[in-house]
Formats: sequence, structure tokens, C-alpha cells
Amino acid sequence: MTTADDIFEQSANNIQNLGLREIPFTESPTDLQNKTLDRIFTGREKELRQVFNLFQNRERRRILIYGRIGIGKTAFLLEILSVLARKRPKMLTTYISLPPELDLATTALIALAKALPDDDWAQRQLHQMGIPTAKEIKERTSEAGVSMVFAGKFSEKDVSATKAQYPTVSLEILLDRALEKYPDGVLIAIDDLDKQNPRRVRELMHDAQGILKGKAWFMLTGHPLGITGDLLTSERGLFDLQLKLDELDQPTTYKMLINYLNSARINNNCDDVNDPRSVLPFSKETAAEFCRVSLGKPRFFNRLGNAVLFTAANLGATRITPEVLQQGFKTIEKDRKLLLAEKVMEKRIFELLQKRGSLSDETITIEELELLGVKSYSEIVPYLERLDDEDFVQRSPQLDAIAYTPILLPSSD
Amino acid sequence: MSLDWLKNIDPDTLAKFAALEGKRDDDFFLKESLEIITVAPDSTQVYKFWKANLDCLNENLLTILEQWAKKNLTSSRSKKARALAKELIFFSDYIQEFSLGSIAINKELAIKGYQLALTVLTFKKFPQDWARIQMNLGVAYEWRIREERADNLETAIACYQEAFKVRTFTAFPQDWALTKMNLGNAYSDRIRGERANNLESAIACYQEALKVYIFAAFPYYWAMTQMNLGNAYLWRIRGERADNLESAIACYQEALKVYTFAAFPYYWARTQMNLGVAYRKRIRGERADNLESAIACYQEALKVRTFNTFPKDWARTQMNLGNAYLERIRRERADNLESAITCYQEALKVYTFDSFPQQWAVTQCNLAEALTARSSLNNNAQDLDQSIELYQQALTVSASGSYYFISDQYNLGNALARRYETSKNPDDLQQSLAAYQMALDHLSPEHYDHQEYWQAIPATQAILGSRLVRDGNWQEGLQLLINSLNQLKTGDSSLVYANALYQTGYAYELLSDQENARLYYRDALRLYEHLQDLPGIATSRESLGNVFVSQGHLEKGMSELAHAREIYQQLGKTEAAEKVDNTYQSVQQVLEQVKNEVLA
Repeated sequence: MTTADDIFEQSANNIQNLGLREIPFTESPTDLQNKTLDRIFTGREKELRQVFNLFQNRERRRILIYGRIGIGKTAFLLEILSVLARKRPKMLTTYISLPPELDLATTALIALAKALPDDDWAQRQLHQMGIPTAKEIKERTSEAGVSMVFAGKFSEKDVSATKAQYPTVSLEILLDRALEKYPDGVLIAIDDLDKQNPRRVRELMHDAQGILKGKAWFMLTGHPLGITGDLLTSERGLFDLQLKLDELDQPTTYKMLINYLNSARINNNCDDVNDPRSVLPFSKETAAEFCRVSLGKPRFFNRLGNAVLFTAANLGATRITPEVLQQGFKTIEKDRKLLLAEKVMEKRIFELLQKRGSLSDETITIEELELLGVKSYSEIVPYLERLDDEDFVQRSPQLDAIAYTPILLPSSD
Repeated sequence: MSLDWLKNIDPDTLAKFAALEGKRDDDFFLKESLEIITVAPDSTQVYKFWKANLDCLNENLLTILEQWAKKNLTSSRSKKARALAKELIFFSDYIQEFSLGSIAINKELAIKGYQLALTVLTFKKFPQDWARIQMNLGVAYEWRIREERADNLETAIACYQEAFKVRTFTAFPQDWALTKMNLGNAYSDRIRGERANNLESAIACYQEALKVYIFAAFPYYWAMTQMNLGNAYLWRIRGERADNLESAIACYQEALKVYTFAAFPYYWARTQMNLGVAYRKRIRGERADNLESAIACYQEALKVRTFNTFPKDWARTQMNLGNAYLERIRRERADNLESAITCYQEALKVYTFDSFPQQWAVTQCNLAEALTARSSLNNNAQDLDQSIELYQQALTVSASGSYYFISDQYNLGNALARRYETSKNPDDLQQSLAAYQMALDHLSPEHYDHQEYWQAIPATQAILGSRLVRDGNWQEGLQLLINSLNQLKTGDSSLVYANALYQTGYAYELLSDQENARLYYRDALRLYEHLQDLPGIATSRESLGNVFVSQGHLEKGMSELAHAREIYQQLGKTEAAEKVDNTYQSVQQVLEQVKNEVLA
């Protein structure tokens, strides 16, 4: 009789048959260890240079990293923090995902207080906001020597933090205390602003001008066009650097695949692009095809990677042959169909998109909108954004319209 | 005491005698009334007696009546008791129709009288009398002034239904038909229950009544039922609205076959007035023709409903005539507005603040609407000022949260917003926002059966939203606009939705969110084009053009501006066309500069 233990073993064996300790792909870079992130982070040299150039100056800077959802903003942010933690031990770096309902000052205050576990005043601030502190303090001590702390993500299930009464003042006080300890400065990275409604983000930015221009360095991630379009005009000058992250090109994607596989491969650590062993268990051809389909979008790349390796493991394959790759794509296609089956509106829109090749507010007709059961394009934009989030569609680079094209897998009908 | 001698006395003398006589004891007045009722053939004599002794028709009489009944109606076996109970029915019948003194007390006396009579004239022993009382009691409850009207109507319905236990179609067809008609009236007015269902019940009752009330046998009742049926169709919620209005018109026209000017001038005039209302609301046929018919009907009605004979009806007809003139399509707009204003001013001669505060307020508002319209026709600031004042006066009377209150606030908001366009006085804007907000705060689902208010919620949100945005409260304003869009997208009026889309675009533009501005302008434009609404097309193309220009898409912008300019010219809006042309010219210059720089 097969026991659960056997199944576990079998499962592990299937992955090992592919020459891997584990499946290296993940959609959430915050789950990665610093070391792993450093190994798999690929490309963006130009952007990293632009950011690090700023750090050669004592002048405090505000940096906005923007781009589409899934383009790798969080990974980029974390990579910068990881480098700074190693290279600038006297600088305090702290990361937080913007909790819903909180303003930027309170968010920054939480991030900073969490990074100062030994500071009683800071801990009291957290306590007053109803945020548990002990566990983080413990983790912090086990990470001795690295001044980078993940304040983690708040989700709705967590006890939600209440707003600090005078967040701006408290933040200033705490910054002064932190700067005594970290003379090279304090960097507060606030992620996931793009998960909030763009209008709310604009309001947050507007209200946070004071703290953003205060004593800390700030790195924020934002919406692809929503907030930046506005910030570039109305809040010009608020950021010293506005960095747009685009899709990775094919060679970089290929290199990224090598790095990912290398971080989990059992027997070899070949990372020579020209050596076919560098992409094992892929072949050069299947690796290239995989990279082509992933469109240089890191999150989509990870989703595809996960599905392909799972399918291969389930098939008991040792190599990703064109057939196995095709099976992997088919698995995704099946999952996509299942996902859409429950979402009537998204399904209709996606089908229309497949038929039309693209949809845009410039060219859509009343008849097409009626087919979708709506009266205006603005009604379907949220669905398109959700489809974008699920990698069913991508926004086209056209600047004078909100246009989308479908992302079709090679196995699509 | 024998009262035979009374028969020979001149009724006026009798009335005077009765008044001079004074109260000998507590129940003297009641006894005297009952005795007159016994001997007199109709209500004339007793009415004279009551008129002379109005002070006796008071709260106290209710107690006296009860005590008198206790003493005299103890046993139904006694013949005397039965006779007295029947007198009591007449007493109640007469008192509930008596139009002097306190109407509220008169109705209470009638109800009390019927209830006391019922203690003797029971269902078992005197079914026919019992049924008659049930029906008349129903009528008394239907028009009762004291207590909750909703409860009273429920009791009235229950009474009529009780009456049917005896008054069946086969046994007493005429009584059955009359009770059906009364039940129909009660359902028409019913407050409880689903209004749509109540109106269906009313229609069913009237149609039942018509089985007995056929034209040949009962022309008067037939006509009355036709008119009631017409009224029910006029307000019907179920079924196709256009069909219902056609049915209403047909019913009124039927009624007019009997209600002729010569035979029944009062009812003829009333039917003309109802017919006018139906024509004004009519969906089928040319709207312009329908309004002409409505005006003709109202003018006919005024031949009977004169200021001297029926002042209230006269005023009401003047007001309706004013409404029809306000909406009239044929003839010169300016003349029609003058006529409307005159009608409302006439109506106000009767509808004074002291006598008819509600009607006064409604007329004030209608007058204000006409003045607002006149002010936009001739740019007359004075008219606008006056209309704002009228709305504000009317609001002192409208009950907070009532239909009229909301409507007044909404219209006041519009008038103030319009004044702000020229005055640029921040107070006007402030007050306009406050008025819109007030309207919005009081709108609730119970107003949903008023189509225009169902629309008004999101429309008001949209206006208030765009005002708030212009005023700098963009977050709140945009939220309102987006709420309104969510409601309007499922609504019937595509034009209102298109306007709200445009306003949302405008709000985004003010917030420098050009991408969303463009998105919503395009949505508005698409819908305006579908509706072939030229002013909408022109403004949205103009705005879209401006957004393109500010985003740097100069050629696209110019193309939109050129379109807008063309439509403005077509519409004769020279000022707007010139404004667009100015922008167009300056964009063209920029574009040429850019091209030259590239070439250089």
C-alpha cells in the first residue's frame, strides 16, 4: 500500500529525475532568501546603475520604480536592498508592503519601527498600533549583522493596524533616533503601491509630500501609467529618479532561466550561455521557446516555469523535450480555461479579444460593447486589468489608447 | 314628542328656532338631529339645523352619541332600537358628507354612528342593513382625517370586503357593483402593499363593476367607472406605459359620451382636465400634437372651472395649463413661457400661502422653473434671481424628505449653479452644492417609483460630483461620479449616462489624469454619437482634443478639435466654435514649429 510518505518520496524523486532539488520558480520574490534572490536576479544592469549612482551621494533621494504588474518591481527593489545591506552596513534599509487603508507616513513608521527592535520607543509605537512585535524581534536577532528587515505583507486576515495618531511627527522622531545608530542613512522601501487604486495612491502621494521630502531615503513602487502619468505632471520634482521597468529582452530572459535552474540544480552549476548544460533539464531549443513564450515578463516566466516543471515531474520526464514543453503549455491552457469558466465577463472579453486580436477604447464599437453587455469601455477596463494580472492579456504599448492584446500560448486553439 | 308640526314650518325658521332654542340637555342636539332626519326626506333640513348649530358638532358629541346609544340601543329585539339604529345610519351618511364645521370630527361622528348601528343591525339578523353599513363605513374610513391614512385605507378595504358577504353579484348586482367601485377607489389610494399590485387590483375592481354598470342601463355610473378606470390606467405601473396611457385616454373619451358639457358640466370639466393630463404624459403619437391636445383640454375645462364658481379646480387647471405651456413645442418658445408664467401667477391667486401652503409651494416652483427657462432664453439675470427666491420660499413649506422637497432642492441646486456660471460668486456655488447634497441625502429607494427621481439620484450625484471636483474636493467628487456611473449604466437614459461619463472625464482632466480623462471622454463620445446628440458630440470631441494636445498627440488633437468646431458651427454656437478654433490655431502653430525644428 502506498503511504503518504511514499507519495512524498515519489514526488521528490520526480523533481530529482529532472536533476533539480526543487522547483526554483516562484511568483513572490519576498518569499526568497536574500542569497537565492541574488543568484536568480538577472539583468536590469542599466537600471541598477542608475539607482546605485544616486547612493554615491550623501544627499537623500526619492526613487520611484514603476512598471506593469508582474514586471519584477519587487524583485528589483529587494535586490537593491540586499546589495545595500551588504555594501552599506551603516545604512538601515527596511522594506514594507503598503497595507490597505494606511497612509504613507504610518506605513513608513511601521517599517522603521520594525527595523529597530531594540528601540523601546519604536516598539511602543508599534504596540500602540496593535502590531505584535516579539516575533519580529526574534527573527531580527537571528539575522544579526544584516540590517535589512522584511516587515512583511499585511493581508486582510491580519489584525489590521490602526493609524498612528501623529504619524508624521512620530516618524520624524524615530528617524532621528535611527540616524544616531545608522549614520549612513535610512532607506524605507514601500512596495505594492500599484496594488491600490490609482486615485488613492495619488491622494497618498499628495498627502505624503512632507515625509517624502524629509530625512529618509524612499523607494516606492508604483502603477505603470496611472500614478506615474499624474506624478510626472503634477508632482514633478517629488522624485529624483523615476525608473520604468520594461519587459526583459530574449537574451536576458534566457540568462534568467539559466540562473533560476542553476539555483536548484543538483549536479552542475554551469552558467555558460553557450553550453547546453546550463539550461538542463531544458534543451537549448526548448529553453529558447520557453523564453519566447514568457514574453520577458518575470512573473509570467515564473508561472510558466512552475507549470512546465510540474508537468514534466508528473510525466516522470528527465528532460524538457518539445513534447513535454508542449504538455506544460497545455496544462496552463487547461488551468486558464478553468479559471475563466467561473468568470463570465472575463471569459466574454477574452473571447472577443481572441476574435478581434486587440481591443482599445479608440476602436471599440457600441455593438461590441453591447455584445459584452456594457455601455462603456471604462466598464470593461477593470476586467482587462484583472486579465492582465492573470497573464491572459497584455497592455499594448500604444500611448494614445488603452489597448490590450491577448497572450496566447502555442498550444492555444 | 310628535314632530309633525315641523313638516309645516319653513326650514329656515326651523333652523333659527333650533339655534335659538339652545341646549336643554346634553343629548338635545343629537336627539333633535335624529328627529329631523326621521321626518325630512333628505339632508337639506338637517344640514340647515347643523349649520345653525355648528358649535354642537364637537368632540363632546362623540361621547354623547355613545352614551345615547348605550341607553337606547341595548337590545336589538326592540323595534325601537332597530328604528333608531336605522336613523343612526342616516345620521352617519349625512354627517360624513357635511362640508361645514370640523371635517375631521364629522368623519369621526359618522364612523361612530355606523359602529353603534352595527351593534343592533347584525350580519345574522339584518344582513342587508349590515352590508350597507359596512360599505358606508368603508367610505368613512377612506376619507377619515384622524389616525394614519394607511391604516384607515386598510380598514376601508376590509369593510368593503365584508360587504361582499351579502352583496353578491347574483343577489344584489347594483350594490355589488357600487361596492366594487368603492373598493377600486380604496385600492387606487392604498399606501400599504406594492403600489403596482394595488393599481392592478383597482383596475380589476372597476372592470368588474362595468359588468353591471353597462352604458345602456346605468350611463351615469358607467361614465364614473370609466373615469376611475382611466385614472388607474394613468398611474398604472405594470404593463407597457405607452399602452396604459392609451387606455386612460380611451376611458376618458368614453366617459365624455355621458359627461357632456350640457348634462354634467362639472364632471365634463373634470374629465377634460384628466384627459389633458393623459395627453401631456402620452408616449405614442407626436409629442408636439399631444401637448396641443392637452392645452385644448385644459382650456375646455376652464369654461366650467371658473375662478368664481370652482376656485380650487380653476387654480389646479391653471397650473396644469401652465405646465403644458412650459413644455409646449409648437409656437414661439418665448410666447409659451409667457403663457406658462401667466397661468402660474393666476393659480397663485387661489393657491395662497395661508390657504393652500402645499399647492402654493408647488406653484411657486413651477413658476420658478418657467422663470429659469426664460432667463436662459434671454439671459435675464433678474428672472434667475427671482426663480432662486421662489425655490427658497417654497422650501420653507415642503416637508423635509418629501417628493417636493427633493425636487425643490434639486432645482434650486440647478438654478444656483447656473447663476454661478455668470456671477462666479462662491456663495452661489456653495449654496448650490448644499442644495444638491440635501436632495441627495433625502433620496431613498422609496422614491424609486418616480421614474425621474430614480434617474435623479445618479444624475444628482453626477452633477454634485462634478461640482465638487471643480470646487477642489476631487476625491469626494470623483467618488460620487463613479457611484453615479455604476447606477446609470443599468438605467434607461443613455443620455444621462453619457453626460455622467463626460463629467467623469472632465473630473479626471482636472486631476491631471489625462489617461482616464481620455478614456471617459471617448466613452461619452461613443454614446453621444450613438444617440446622435450633436451638442454632446461637440463638447466631448473638444475635450478629447484638448487631452490629446496636452498629452502631446498634436495631430490627433487637431483632428478632434476640427470636428468639434464644425459641429459648433452647425449648431450656430459661434462663441464655442471660435474658442475651439483659437485652440486649433495655436496647436497648429506649435506643430509647425516642431516640424521646422526637426527640419532645421
